[in-house]
Amino acid sequence: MNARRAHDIVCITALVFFVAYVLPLFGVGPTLWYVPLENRWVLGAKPTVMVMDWYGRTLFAILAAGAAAIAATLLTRKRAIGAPRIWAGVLAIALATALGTYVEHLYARELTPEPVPSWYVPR
Amino acid sequence: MVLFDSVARILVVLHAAAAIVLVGSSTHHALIALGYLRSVFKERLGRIYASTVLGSYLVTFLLGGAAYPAFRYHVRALYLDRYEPWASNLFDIKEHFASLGLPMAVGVFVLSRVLRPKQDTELLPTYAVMVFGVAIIVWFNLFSGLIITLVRGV
Repeated sequence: MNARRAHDIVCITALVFFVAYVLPLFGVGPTLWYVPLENRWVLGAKPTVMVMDWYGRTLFAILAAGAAAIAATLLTRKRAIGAPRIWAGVLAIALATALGTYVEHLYARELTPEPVPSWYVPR
Repeated sequence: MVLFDSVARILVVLHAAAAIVLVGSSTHHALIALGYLRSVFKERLGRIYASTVLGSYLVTFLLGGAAYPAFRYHVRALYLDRYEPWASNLFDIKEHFASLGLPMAVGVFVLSRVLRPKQDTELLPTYAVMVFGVAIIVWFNLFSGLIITLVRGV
């Protein structure tokens, strides 16, 4: 594979990953929840117990990026897509936007602490 | 019982050790990429650092992911959320930054295998954006992780 083709595939894949990773912040896309106290997975609506969405969110973005990589590999068979300098700018802006979106959503988030169980002994 | 609860501290120590390799390799790689932009081409070193960054990124990522359930409950849920919510928010920012760096660490490795910096100069800005992006995320996460662990660790 030549460098230009690899460049276009990598750029498209990364861009789709960034978008797919940010979409859950706006309620878009399936959510796979991990319930750490029960060691089980739940797909769909958020359970009422303590859950983690990081694994599901990362997996969703990886799968979306994988599909984009396959599509980009097919698209770039005959011709390049876009100008490299434009891609550099697009990636920089997309990354900054994704990072900034998460900072904006999280830095002042108010949390509801979990109740401390009666058997709990602090480490 | 939370997954990997009994080995969470060992996992975090190994996570930190892998992060040391990652911050070193990503910083050196950023200097190589800066050199490319200034027509200083250390191509073999660039490839070595790209593969070291990818390997250490994945190891750091996976070890952190393995230790996460124990942290999420024992540290965040039972302490940080209640007494130091800013640290909980900082941790969540750190974890999402780590995921957002993943495609760039992979992408840079792929590009390093096929890129000829002297000839493919039009592709160097994209390469540099991704290399610098990974380095910035890694340094942010390093300091965030240290600060959070100073507040409370597993």
